[in-house]
Amino acid sequence: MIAFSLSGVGPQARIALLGLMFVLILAPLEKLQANTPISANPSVLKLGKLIFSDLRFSASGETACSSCHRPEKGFSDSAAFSRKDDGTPTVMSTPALFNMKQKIGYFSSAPVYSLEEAVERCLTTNHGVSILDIYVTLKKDSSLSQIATKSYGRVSAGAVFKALAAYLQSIKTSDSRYDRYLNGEISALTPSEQTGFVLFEKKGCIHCHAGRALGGMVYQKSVSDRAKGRVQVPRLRNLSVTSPYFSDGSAATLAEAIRRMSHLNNATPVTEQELEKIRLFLMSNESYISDFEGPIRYEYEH
Amino acid sequence: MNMNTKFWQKLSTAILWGCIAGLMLLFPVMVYLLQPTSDIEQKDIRHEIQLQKNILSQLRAETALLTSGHRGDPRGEILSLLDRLYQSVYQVDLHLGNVRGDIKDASRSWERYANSLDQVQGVILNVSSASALYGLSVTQLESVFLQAETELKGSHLPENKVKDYDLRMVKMMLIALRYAALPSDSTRLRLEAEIEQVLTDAESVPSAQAKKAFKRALRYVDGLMTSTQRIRDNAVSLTELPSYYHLDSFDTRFEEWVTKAQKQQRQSRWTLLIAVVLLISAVIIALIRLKFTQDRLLKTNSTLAAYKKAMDEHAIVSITDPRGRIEYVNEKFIDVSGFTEPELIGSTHKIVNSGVHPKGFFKTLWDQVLRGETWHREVCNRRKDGGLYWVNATVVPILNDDGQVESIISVRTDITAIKKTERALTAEKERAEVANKAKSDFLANMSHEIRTPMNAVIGMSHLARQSTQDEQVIGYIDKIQYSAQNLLSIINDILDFSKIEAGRLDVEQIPFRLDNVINHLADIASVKANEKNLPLLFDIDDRIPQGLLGDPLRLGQVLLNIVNNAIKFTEKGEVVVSGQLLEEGGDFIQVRFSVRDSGIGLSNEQIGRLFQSFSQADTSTTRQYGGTGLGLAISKQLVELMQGEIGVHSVEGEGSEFFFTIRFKRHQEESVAEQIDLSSIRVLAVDDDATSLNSVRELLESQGVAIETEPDAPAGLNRLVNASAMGEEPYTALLVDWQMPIMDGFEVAKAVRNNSALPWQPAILMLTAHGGEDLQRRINHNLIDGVLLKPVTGSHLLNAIQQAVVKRSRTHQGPTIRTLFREGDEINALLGARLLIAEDNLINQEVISGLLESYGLDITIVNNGREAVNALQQNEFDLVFMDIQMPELDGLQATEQILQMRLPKTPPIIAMTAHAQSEDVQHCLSVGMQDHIAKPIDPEKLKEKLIRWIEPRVISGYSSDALKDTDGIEIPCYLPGVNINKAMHSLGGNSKLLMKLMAQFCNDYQQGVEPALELMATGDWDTLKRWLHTLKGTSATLGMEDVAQRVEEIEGMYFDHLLPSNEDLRPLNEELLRVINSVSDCMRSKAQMLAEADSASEDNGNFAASLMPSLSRKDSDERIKELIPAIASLLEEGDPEVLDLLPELLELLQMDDDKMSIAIQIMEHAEIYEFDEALSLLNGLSYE
Repeated sequence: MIAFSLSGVGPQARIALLGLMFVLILAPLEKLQANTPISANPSVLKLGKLIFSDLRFSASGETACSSCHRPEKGFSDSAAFSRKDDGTPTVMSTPALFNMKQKIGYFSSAPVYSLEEAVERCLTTNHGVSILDIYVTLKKDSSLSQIATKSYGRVSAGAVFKALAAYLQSIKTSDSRYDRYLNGEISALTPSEQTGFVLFEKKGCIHCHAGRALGGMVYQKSVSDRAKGRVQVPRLRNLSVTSPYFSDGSAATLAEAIRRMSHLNNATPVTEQELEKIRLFLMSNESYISDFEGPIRYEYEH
Repeated sequence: MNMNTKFWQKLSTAILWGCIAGLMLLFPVMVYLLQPTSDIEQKDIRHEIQLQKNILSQLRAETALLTSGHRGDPRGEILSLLDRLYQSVYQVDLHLGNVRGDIKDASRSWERYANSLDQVQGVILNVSSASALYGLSVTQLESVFLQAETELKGSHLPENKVKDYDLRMVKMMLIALRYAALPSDSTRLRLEAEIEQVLTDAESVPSAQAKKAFKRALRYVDGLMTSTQRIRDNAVSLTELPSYYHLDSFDTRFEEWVTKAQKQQRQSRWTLLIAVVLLISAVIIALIRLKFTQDRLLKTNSTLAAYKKAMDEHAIVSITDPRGRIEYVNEKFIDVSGFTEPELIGSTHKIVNSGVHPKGFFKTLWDQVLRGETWHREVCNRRKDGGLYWVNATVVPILNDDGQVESIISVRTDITAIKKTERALTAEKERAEVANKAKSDFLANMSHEIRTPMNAVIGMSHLARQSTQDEQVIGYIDKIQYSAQNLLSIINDILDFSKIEAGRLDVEQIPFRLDNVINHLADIASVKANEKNLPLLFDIDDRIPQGLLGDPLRLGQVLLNIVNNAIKFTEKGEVVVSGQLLEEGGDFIQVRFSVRDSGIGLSNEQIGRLFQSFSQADTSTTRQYGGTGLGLAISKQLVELMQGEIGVHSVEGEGSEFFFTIRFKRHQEESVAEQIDLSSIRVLAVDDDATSLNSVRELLESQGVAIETEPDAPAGLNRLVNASAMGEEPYTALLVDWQMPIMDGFEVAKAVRNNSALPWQPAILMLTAHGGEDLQRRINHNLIDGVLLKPVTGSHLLNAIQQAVVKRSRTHQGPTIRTLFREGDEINALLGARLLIAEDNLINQEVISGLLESYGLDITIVNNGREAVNALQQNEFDLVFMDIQMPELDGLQATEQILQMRLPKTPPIIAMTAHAQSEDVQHCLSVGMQDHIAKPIDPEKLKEKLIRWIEPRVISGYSSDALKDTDGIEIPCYLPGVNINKAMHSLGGNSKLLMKLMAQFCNDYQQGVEPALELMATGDWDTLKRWLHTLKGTSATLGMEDVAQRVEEIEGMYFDHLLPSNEDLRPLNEELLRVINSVSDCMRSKAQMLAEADSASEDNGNFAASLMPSLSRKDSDERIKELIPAIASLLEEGDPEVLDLLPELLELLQMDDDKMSIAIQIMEHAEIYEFDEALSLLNGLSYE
């Protein structure tokens, strides 16, 4: 039919028919392109990372997320209580941020189950900025707002939250020796550490510091007297950089923390040898941390 | 290609384009609708929902595991489940975000579900926390129990008691563990009951240490129970959570929406499909149409190719671009031009330019072609070898849609051969034309050259006839004249014929009256008819209007020609000319004229050749009858020119009928012929034939006309003359027979006309059965108003009477001087008029002066136009005759100069020309000449022209002499001492009277002054004075100026109271005698004429006297006495009407010469409005 029509029509119609065929060929290609991927793209992560260390997203302009969640400290800090933007201390010690998916909820009091909500709460309560402030700040920065516009179609506070959440989710840990042990590499842990692991289970620690992450899934009554109500059981990882311990930072050393926990929860508290072994076991769960761009903190750097 | 086809083609193209555009627009829609993503999304969402349902179930299961005491590590499982759940939720969120359409209900359910998941997580968290506590409690069981046991053992209780308590504790522990393992309400109740029991028992425990142990155990059991209870409660709340329900409802609603959307999608797809199908069918239809068009185009193409082939075979074809560069040439072009194709392509046509054509020739081509017009010419081109060839070129521009020239096609036919032939033919034609021109010129010249001698022949013979009395000579001269006229008509025929050949014969369209033409025909033809004694009868349809537009001359010519033929070829019988109205419509009429004779007739073969040139019936006819044979050919041409046909019916030996039809336009005459009221007409018929008389009476009475009849002439005359005396009305018309005893018709008419006592001159019509020479010769229109050939019809007779009466009455009614004249008197009124004649030919000068001599005109002859102009500058003339061909200044130029001079009174100029062709006449009139007269000059025509154009100076009363026939002497010879002109002038041009007076004068004064001397001797001075006065008046009147002068001198002496002596009278005497002698000589030289004239005069006088019994001297005097005061009063008032009365006075005074001369002077003064002088003269007259 095409041949017939081509022979019978003038040059204009011939061009039109060729154009038609071209469109027919291109149509599937267009469809393929239209189906854009929906995974978090690097620009969003970049945006999140930039905001994470951006002082402007605070009332005083002196506080960034990274002020307390310091990457070199395993995204935590070395203080019992961190300073909020307004100078007041936080209610609880700053938790470490890694493997965010391994937590059942965020915040100890009135927990939320969405990371974005958690980010929003942190910004509004600790940074002292409203949603409007966040929006204005983002808007002011042309490069940030450009990324936001590109990624989310518009500039909004939601973009900041989403970007931060995406960035936080990208913070992952490498396998620690404990992980390797769990994966079947028996030699990853020393015999005393293995004994420590057995003691950890035996003493019932494992019930609250449950799962592979050794915590983060259970809310229990706080060890500290100051904390009212239940607190989230922290994950026991990279403990070497996150002292002091407990939600009020009342335990300066890990041994003290283990001792107090044992005294509190065990009918028969651990012996010093047992304690040492448990401590060694816990210290075996050390790994470096990386975000989407690569490692941030290396194992045993201290 | 017509409009319709074009329209449909355009429409189908438009539809095609519309469809293609529509299809293009539909493609994105189609692509969208056809892509399976919408389906996949549904599948994804469904899948995710299923997954979530599963996860939720698993979560429940894991939670249940936690509830029922953990096995393995359910928390990690839960976390991963939650993670998967949230991932799934995120996916669904994304999909839902991508789903277009109305999914509000589903979205709301989804949001509710998503929110409820937080609760699920919270519950799971609680369960997990409680479970952790529970697990810890369970692990602590051993050590707690051991510690309690140790404490129990350490108490100071009897062994059995310890055992018992131990047992109880164990029992409680067991119950607690059972509850923890299988938590149910019943076990819980039992545990509570046991705890109650233990508490109660523990109170009764005497040992504090044992109590402590119990309390520790109890606290532990209580914690275990609490954690178990928490797990239970949370498990219950997990099952009660609505998330599952929300998911379900979302699922349902989403499914609903999906079903609906799918339905819509299906519909959309169908619609799309139909649209596409429709569009495609439209495209197909359009394509089919295009296919048809293509077929047609191919067919046209093949036809055109065939045309092209045909054209290439026939013609030289080349195509150029708009700038003239050749893009295509055919074989023929190459063959003819000799150039090869590569030489031609790309070059212009200049390559074959011959250079023969002028510069602007090809510019017209370009101008025309670039304007989009076709150019068509014959072009001469040059071959490669230099030879020329002619082509008939047609150059057609091909225009594009914008009207711009796209290319130019030139098609040429080789016409070199034709051109050669044409050139030869043209040369031949030119030669022929030159020859023909020479012939025409020759004819024209010949005609001119012949006419001049003819003029002399006719004019001179006319003069000769007048100046001889010898019958034999007159006979010779008549024959000369007849022959000359014949010759002239032959020359005219030849000239006509040559004009017909040259196509230069014109037919005029002028108003004319048909009866004039017929009368003229009758006048001329009847002469010949009478010679052969043939009745020539006319039968003209009364319905033919008299006023027509046409060419009377040519009509007359044709009729005359045919009638002459008829007469010529008829020995006995009759010739009948008839005219019938064939057709009448609008402003034209068609008349059929026929001439029937009873002559020798024609055979069919002869008829065939009849209308050809130089052809008569046969050569023998020519020998027998003579003639040029041109007549009928000319007639045929003339008739055809007048939009008619000519033909003939004939039977050999019995006669023939020639007929022709002519179309005339009607002409409304300005003044319709006055119709006389029939009742006012009284007719007197005089005829010796009683039958004829009765028939006339009946005819007229039937028309209501009063008629009286008399059987003989004297009785008729008496009746006519005495009508008023008898108290009857005057008769208005007199019908007389020609041949009657006693007095014939002419004599009767003469008597009536000469009778001045009649109050009313009747119209006189002559009725006769015989035409003929005699009649023709004697017809004098002064006497007779019309001649009717018997038999006549009533209407014809009545018409004739009416016309005659009108004509007659008009001469008495008109206010102008001219109408006062009787016909025939008019020429006399021209006496003394000054004429200028410009004519170079001496013979012609002589002829015209001779012809004019008789009219008593003052003639000046000049030899050329220049002299004519000079003469006009010096003198005043009344009329100029101007020859056209003259040396120095020809007539036309002279006329122009004369008109440019703006004389106070430019005389009418009449052309005299031998060129009788109408264009010559037109030419003359166009330069300002008033009229023309053809040479040879016809004396009658000349007279007509004179009457028409010369303003009359004098009015003359008519005398009986003036009414005489023109035979006899009218022209006095030159007389020394006598100014003839003055004399004629004084006498109103009445030469007879002049002769008579002269004779009388001679008679009276033949003794010279002897009577005066006698009177002087007797001293009778008074008588002498009167004698002198009479002499003075008479001599002055007779133009004897010298005599009058002498008398005046003597009278002057007398006036000075000096008595004249004999000596004084001597010069007078000498002069007087000299004049008398010369007059007497002249008289004697014409004695014979005089004698004849005298006798005729005497006869007439006697006869007139007998007819005028009522007219006496006394009556005349009384009438004069009445008339003079009337005239005097009018003169005093300065009323020009006096001119009406003066002629009568002149008439009454004609017996008295002195008074007559005075009356004439009065008339002269009155005419030029010098009423005072006229009055003083009148007083003198009445005084006498």
